[in-house]
Amino acid sequence: MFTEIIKGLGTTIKHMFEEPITIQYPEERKPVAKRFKGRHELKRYDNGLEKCIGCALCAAACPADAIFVQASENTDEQRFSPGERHASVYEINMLRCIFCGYCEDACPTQAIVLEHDYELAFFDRQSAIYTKKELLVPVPDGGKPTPQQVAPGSFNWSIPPMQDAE
Amino acid sequence: MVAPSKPITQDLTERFPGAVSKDTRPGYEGYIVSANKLTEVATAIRDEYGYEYLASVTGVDYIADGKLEVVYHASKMSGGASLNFKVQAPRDGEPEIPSLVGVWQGADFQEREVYDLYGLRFSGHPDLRRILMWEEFEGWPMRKDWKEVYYEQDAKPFKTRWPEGSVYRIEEKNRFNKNVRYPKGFDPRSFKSDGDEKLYALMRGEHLPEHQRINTDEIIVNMGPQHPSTHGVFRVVVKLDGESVVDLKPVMGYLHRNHEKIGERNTWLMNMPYTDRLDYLSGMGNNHGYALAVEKLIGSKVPERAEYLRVLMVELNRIANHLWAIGFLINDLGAFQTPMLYLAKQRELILDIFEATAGSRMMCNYMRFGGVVRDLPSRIRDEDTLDFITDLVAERLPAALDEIETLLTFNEIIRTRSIGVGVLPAKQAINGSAAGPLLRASGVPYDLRRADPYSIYDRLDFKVCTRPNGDVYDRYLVRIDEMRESIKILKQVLRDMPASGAIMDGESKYTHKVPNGESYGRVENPKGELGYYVVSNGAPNPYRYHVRAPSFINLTMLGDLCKGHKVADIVVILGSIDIVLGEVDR
Repeated sequence: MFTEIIKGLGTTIKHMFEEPITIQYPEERKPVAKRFKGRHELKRYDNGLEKCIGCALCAAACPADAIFVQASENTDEQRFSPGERHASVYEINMLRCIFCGYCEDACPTQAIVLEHDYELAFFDRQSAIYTKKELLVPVPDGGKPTPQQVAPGSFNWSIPPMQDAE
Repeated sequence: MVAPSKPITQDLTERFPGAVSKDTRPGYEGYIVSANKLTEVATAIRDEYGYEYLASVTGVDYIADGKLEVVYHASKMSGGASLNFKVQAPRDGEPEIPSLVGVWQGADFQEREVYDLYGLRFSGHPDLRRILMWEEFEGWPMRKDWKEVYYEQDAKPFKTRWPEGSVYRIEEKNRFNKNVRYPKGFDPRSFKSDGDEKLYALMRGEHLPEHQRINTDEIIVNMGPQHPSTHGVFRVVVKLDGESVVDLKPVMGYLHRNHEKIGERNTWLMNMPYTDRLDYLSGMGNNHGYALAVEKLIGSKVPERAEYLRVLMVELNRIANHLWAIGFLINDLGAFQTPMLYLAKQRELILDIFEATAGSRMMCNYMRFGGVVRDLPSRIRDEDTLDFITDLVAERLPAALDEIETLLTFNEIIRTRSIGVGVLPAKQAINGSAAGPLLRASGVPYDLRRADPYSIYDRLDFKVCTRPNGDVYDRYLVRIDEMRESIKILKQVLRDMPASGAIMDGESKYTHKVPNGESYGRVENPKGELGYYVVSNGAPNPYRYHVRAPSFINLTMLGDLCKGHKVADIVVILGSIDIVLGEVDR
């Protein structure tokens, strides 16, 4: 029995000198994997135009009906995205979202991407509905904010030929 | 149960002329049995044909034909495909068919579920009450003409979202009480629930003749639903004589969300992330079962590399699940948290692989019909992926298992508390449709990976782990053994996996054309046989989507396992069955 006590204490002492596997969240944060499916972001092209063309395929693909899209026409004076239409209302209800990633798969322009933010907490249900304001990424350097005024006829494809610099 | 002297080769239709006919609908298989001969035919199927194990019982509402159908799947313990037989009853009035609880104890909870969701009565059932819904619930939720509270349309995508978009939000238009049905003469002011009273009366033995119920010393105690050791919102009603359990009935449904109704609204593919949420500790296995069921109907061929990736993930998931199960079992035995966290350390590494590959740690949504959604990433935690997995499989996990075994297996407290507790005899385990480690710890070598091989398991070398005694300790040991076998499988997978190649049969599709017919896909999940019974009528969403949940059916035997033991042992026995309430309640 004596040897067992020593053995048991040995385990305790061994663990005292091991590096702890826990981290002090929220002071320390573990980086997530590249493919991690966190909160959505609506992406922009390098020139600042929104990638989303308001086709609502993400809303159709969503198993939980979390996405709500309303599309409006683009004009050359008020241009949001390169195509004919853009999303004038884009809402995701984060309480409904199950983070399956189907919206990302369905998107023809890779506008919606599940990014790495996982700290989603709200005080009320209304603030769980993320609108374009929260979802849209900031304008990249060298780009202009939307709506932009462009030369007529420069963007007339619903799925634009322009590619991201990536 | 009588073992067949020689297996009968005579077809079921010849054995019972007039009572049994072949199911001739296109895409369907099996037999249709007439209701008045059901018990006789089922007994013959069990005793003469050797299908000793009733895997699944479920209902289907064929509203166009005005019929309710109950579908049974029976298996042989020696392996092979399952036998599928059906009984039909008219939809209107009070449909009733004979209960098979006398033939297979495993039909008990499943028949109650069919009664609860379809309103089909089973005559001769010993305790036909609702099981997932509460007793006063009005209507039969799985019937096709039953609509939920915020009912919008029969199938997704809903018109409010697509293609018109921005029409209205259904919650604003569809007032809450419009779809709610109340019982006749319902008055909320005078309403008093008597649902539990039925259960308590049953426990008190009020249905017995008077001389059998002179039990002055016995009390009825509720354990749960809010109880730290019931692994979730699960309740057991216990009849106690002092500290000893005289009778026990599980009560469930607190986490019920009618998963199957949701599944019938969704398109085929949309169900995939929902399956993750059944048994949320083994999401990969759930994906696999559903993918197999639908692939059978579509007839897609999974590429070689995808098969290996699937098995890799499923086996890693099995280890993660068993680590957790053992951790919680030890937790239930009173060793609070510490052993569990030792095991969580290894589980964390497995979850890292899932996160790097599928993007989520538990709700992976990794498989698709005809393959998997993504290949392995090049790096995990700044290490080369294959090095990381190989190191985990070859070094860390075996070392961790050895550590668990030195700490726990011969620990005196664990042995005293678990040896001889909750004994499940092999005969009852088979008859009661126990599955997974619960069945194999009773000495029955039945593992679907061997009995009815799917994916690439017929090429892999592993053994089916059994233990002879069927007590809590043996269930613990079977889980340890299974983890070692999984490591063996993983080593072979890593050795044989093609270095590159397609991971999808054709293109990754979004809508699927699923031909008419039925299919039952089953996998050996960490908790037992997980089966998906799906029926397609050619529409973009399933006509019927049923989950044969192993945790749910394993609970059938809980009462018998606990009888004669002390209250504290209930917790241990429940822990050794290893339930997940997401799957029990669905």
